[in-house]
Order: sequence, then C-alpha cells, then structure tokens
Amino acid sequence: MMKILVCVKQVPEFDLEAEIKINDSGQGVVTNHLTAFRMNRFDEYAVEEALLIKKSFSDVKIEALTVGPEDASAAVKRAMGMGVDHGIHILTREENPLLAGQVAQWISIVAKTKSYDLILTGVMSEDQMQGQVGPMLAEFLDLPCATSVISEKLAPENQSVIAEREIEGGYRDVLELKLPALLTIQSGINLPRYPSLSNVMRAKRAKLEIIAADSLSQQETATVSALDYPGKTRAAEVLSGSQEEKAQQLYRILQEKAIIP
Amino acid sequence: MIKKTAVIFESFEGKIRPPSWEALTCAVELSNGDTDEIQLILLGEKLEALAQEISEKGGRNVIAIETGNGGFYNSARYKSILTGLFREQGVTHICLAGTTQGLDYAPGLAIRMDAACLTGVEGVFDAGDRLGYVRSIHGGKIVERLSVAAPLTVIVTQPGTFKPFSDSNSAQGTVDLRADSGEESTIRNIEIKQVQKESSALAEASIIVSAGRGFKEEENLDLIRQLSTVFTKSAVAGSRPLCDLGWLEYSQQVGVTGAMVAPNLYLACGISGAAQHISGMRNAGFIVAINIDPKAAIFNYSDVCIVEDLTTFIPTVIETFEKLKAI
Ligand SMILES: Cc1cc2nc3c(=O)[nH]c(=O)nc-3n(C[C@H](O)[C@H](O)[C@H](O)COP(=O)(O)OP(=O)(O)OC[C@H]3O[C@@H](n4cnc5c(N)ncnc54)[C@H](O)[C@@H]3O)c2cc1C
Repeated sequence: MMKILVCVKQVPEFDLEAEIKINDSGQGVVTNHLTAFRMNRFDEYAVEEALLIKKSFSDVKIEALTVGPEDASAAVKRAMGMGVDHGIHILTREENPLLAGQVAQWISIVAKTKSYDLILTGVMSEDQMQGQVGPMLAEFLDLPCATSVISEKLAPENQSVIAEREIEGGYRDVLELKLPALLTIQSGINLPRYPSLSNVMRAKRAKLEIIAADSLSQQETATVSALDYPGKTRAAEVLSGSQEEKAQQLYRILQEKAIIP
Repeated sequence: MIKKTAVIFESFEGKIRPPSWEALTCAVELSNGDTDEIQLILLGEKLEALAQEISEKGGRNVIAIETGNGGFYNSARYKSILTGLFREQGVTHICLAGTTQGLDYAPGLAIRMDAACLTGVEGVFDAGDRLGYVRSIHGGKIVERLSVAAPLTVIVTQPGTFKPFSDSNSAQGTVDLRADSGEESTIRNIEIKQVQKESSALAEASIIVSAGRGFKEEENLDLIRQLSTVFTKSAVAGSRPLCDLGWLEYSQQVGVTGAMVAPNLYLACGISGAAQHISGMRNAGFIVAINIDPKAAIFNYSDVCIVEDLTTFIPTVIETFEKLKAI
C-alpha cells in the first residue's frame, strides 16, 4: 500500500465583510465570529493531486494533517470531504504563534511514526506567505524535496516520482526524486474538486486523530514580531464621486500624464 | 556584533539572475560600514566569467563553486555544499533572492544549519541589539516586522523590493574558484524545458489592463477585453489565478512566475496586490487600481485608487472614455 500525507492549513479570509485588524498585542490579527475561515487555496491543489494519484494507482491511502488551534480541524474535515481517508490534527494552544520551523518539526515527529511514501503541501500559505513548512519538513525527515511543483508522475516501479518545478520565464525544472519524497504543489497543477455530499457526511462522522503539540516538543523562538498596516509607495489618490465622475477624473488624469492623447 | 554576510548569487543560461543584485543590496543595508564583511557566493558550471563579473560589479570577494552535475541546480547537492562552506566561513547572515530556486533550498538549508529563516523580505531595519526584517502577510494587507536574535539568519528577499546593487566606486574583489560536487543526491536532474515563450505582447504594450480573481466569472472577462480596446498599444494581462483557471493564457500572467512588465500605464482590476503579483508590475510608469475593497493591498502601490465594483464601473469607464474621446 502507498501512503500519502497532505498537509493543509486553515486560513482566515479578510474582505469587505470581515475587515482585517491588528489585535491589541500588535502581534496578530483579530479573528472573531465574523471571520470566514477556509482551507488555504494552495493546499486544495495538494489535496486534489493526492486524490488524482489515488485514482490512478490502486491501494493508496491519503491522510490529511493540520497544525493549529481547535477550529483548524475544519481544514482537515474539508480535505476529507474532498475524499481524503483519514485526518490528523496537531492541536496547538490558541496563543501559540505558528512558526514555520516549529510547525515543520511537529509534523516531522508525527510523520516519522507513519512511514509515508509521499508528502504533499501547498506551495505557501495565503496568510503567512512564507513557503517554508514544506521544505523544512523535508529537511527534518531527510527527504528529497521539490517546491512549486506544477506536474508530477509517480513511478512506483522505480520507487520514484518525476516532478516538474515551475521556474521563472516559462521554464520547468524536471527532476526525479527517490521515494519517500516531499513535493510542494503550485496552483494550476489541477482543478481542485468541491467536497461531495457523501464524503462530507462521512467526514462529519469521522474521528480525527488529535495530538497535542505540547506533547511533541516545546516551543522556543528567536523572533519577535510586530504587525503594522502597510504604507503607500505611490500617491494613492483616491477618486471620489459617482462612477461617471470617477471615470471622467481618470480620463483627465491620464491625459495630464500624457498616457492617452 | 560583527556581521559576516554571504550573498548567494544565482545564474541561469550564463547570466546572473537580476534579483541576486537586490539580495546584495539587502546585505549592504544590513551591514554596518567597513567592519562587516560581505562575501559573494556563486554555484554552477563554467563560472569563471560570471565570477569575474560579480567580483567587479559587486566589489567584493567571490567564492565560485563548480558543482558538476551538468550545471543543474540540485537542492540536495546545494544544501550539502553550502552547509560545508558556511561552516568553514563562520557566517552570521546569508542573503539570497526569493526566486523559485532560492525558495526551494533556503528553508531546508536553514534547518540544517540551525538558523532562523525569513522569506519574502522587503526591507531591513535596526531593532536595537538585533536586526529587523519587514515582510508582507495576509496578501499584503498587513506588514510584519520581525526582529531576530539568532547566531545565523537566512534572509530571502522578495524580488523587486530592494534596488539592484550598483556602485561604480567599488574596488574589484578576488575570485576563489573551487570545485565540489556535493554528496550523491536523492534527486536526479532530468532537464530544464521551456513550456512557454516570453510574450512579446506584454513587453511591447504601453498600456496593460489586467484582470484578477475579482472578475469571478469567465464571461466577465469580456469587460477587460473591451476596456483594452479603448486604448491604443494596449494588451490584456491578468493575475495567476485566472491563468490557473484557464480563463487567460499563462503568457498573459504578470508576476514573479509570469511576466515582469513596466508599461506606461498598468490598470489593475479586481487584483488584490499579493507580493508575487506586485513584483511583476511595480515598475510601471503609472498604476491605477480598481477594487471593491478599500483596504486592498494593491492601492498601496497605486497612483490612482478607485473603490468600485468592476462589473459596473468598467462599462462606465468605456462609455465615458468613448464620449470624451469624441469631443
Ligand atoms: C511561488 C508563487 C508564485 C506566484 N506567482 C504569481 C504571479 O506571477 N502572478 C500572480 O498574479 N500571482 C502569483 N502568485 C499568487 C499570489 O500569491 C496570489 O494568490 C494572486 O496574485 C492573487 O490573485 P488576485 O489578486 O487576482 O486574487 P485575490 O487575491 O483573490 O484578489 C481578488 C481581488 O478582487 C477584488 N474584488 C472582488 N470582487 C470585486 C468586484 N466586483 N469589483 C472589484 N474588485 C473586486 C477583491 O477585493 C480582491 O482584492 C504566486 C504564488 C506563489 C506561491
């Protein structure tokens, strides 16, 4: 049997309805009942890729894992709704910041006991935007790793996977990695499916494997973070008035700048 | 503390990747005048000329390591070679550009060397007894200032945020050419293949109208095409998600993994302003953004900000512009 692990993350969605605000400590953002949470989009591609592998090879088991506080389990449930077989939640305390190195280490401790053949993660998370957990996890597990993977083909007969990394300028870096291996998945590799009703029902009933992060290792950090709202790099003139007035102002501005005749 | 910083340069097809020069600027900004040392590192194949070039333009000593393996980048080999080198050199900071290659090996290198690692770094500051780093989070809506106290820090710069290094006064550094093919690797390089030619349409356009996920439905893209026809010498571009959906061609994608563009006017519609997109268009002559969310990050990079629903505003713009043109 081939075992695949997909790491997923729950991220807040800030938009018009749920405006982003820095909390009182200045170290995090405010999330409350208004905040919509969803699975990190890049992880959806990773889940889908695992499901596609399961479809083309017989005897594949897919597990999804997340690290985070209580609510984060929704991302695992979502993955199960898409068709993942089993869910694992490394439970952190609400006040624990999720630092990439720490998260990768926690996952590695759990993964070591499970002997996965392939580990997939999204290329980065939309909230922290670091792209570090995947390659760090590979390092902790001493696995070959390819990031920004835009195409992948398993060759179980060779105990390997052929991966194409998307690099700049329309090129791809084509590699063969010995299994077990870790790939971070770039958007565009597939079209992630929506959860199916039957899978969602099954996910609802399913019990997640819950592991307390504290029981794995203690958190230590060398970094202190303070959040701020971004400054402006240009004039950022905000137009006002009706739509038509704004359009007229825009026309005039572009004329003044000699961008249009 | 005396800093000893290594800047890892990257080359592709015999040329230095431009963001490497930005990583050098970052290293210079975090160094403290003459007491600090900056060492330039280059890995690859047939490096002599390139090493000369960076020792001249960078004005610092270069260690160039021929890595064999047909000149291919290989993360497993790179991590083992660099770890050996940095242990020997005793560096305190490592700077490199956040290209797809840099992002591929830097986090693992940091773990192997027990170092702190920061990606997407857009600026540095003095945080008293520590150094501070600025990066964007939450799609650019929030800025994070991190101060780090670690014996070794790996700093990966966001392309397009630091100025490319240039200093005409700098004296040429020395070149130390070495060879090290690293360990046997669990990764085998097969080839580098081109799947997409650089688009000349975007490079030649003086006005680019660009669509993002704010368009929501493929049918709505007619709006951006119509808007484009209002201007001359214009082209339609977009953010990555629209290309992933197949609504636009990948040749139309602007950003770090798409085209780097600098038209006279960049008109961003329904684009949030994630760092990866901004890197590709921040050098445009004039930037106008249309977004329904007044807090959208794209507005921080714009000359003109229009808070509107694009589905109704773009038709108004087309109509108004046609009317005014006719006068
Ligand atoms: C390694 C890597 C490389 C990447 N390379 C690139 C790249 O080259 N180029 C790129 O673009 N991205 C790239 N990305 C993706 C990037 O991180 C963002 O996910 C992406 O840029 C977001 O695209 P968007 O702004 O269109 O979508 P979103 O972030 O979803 O933004 C949509 C915007 O539309 C607005 N909106 C919604 N409805 C309306 C309406 N009716 N009227 C007006 N506005 C509306 C919203 O307020 C929002 O601001 C890369 C990511 C990674 C990890």
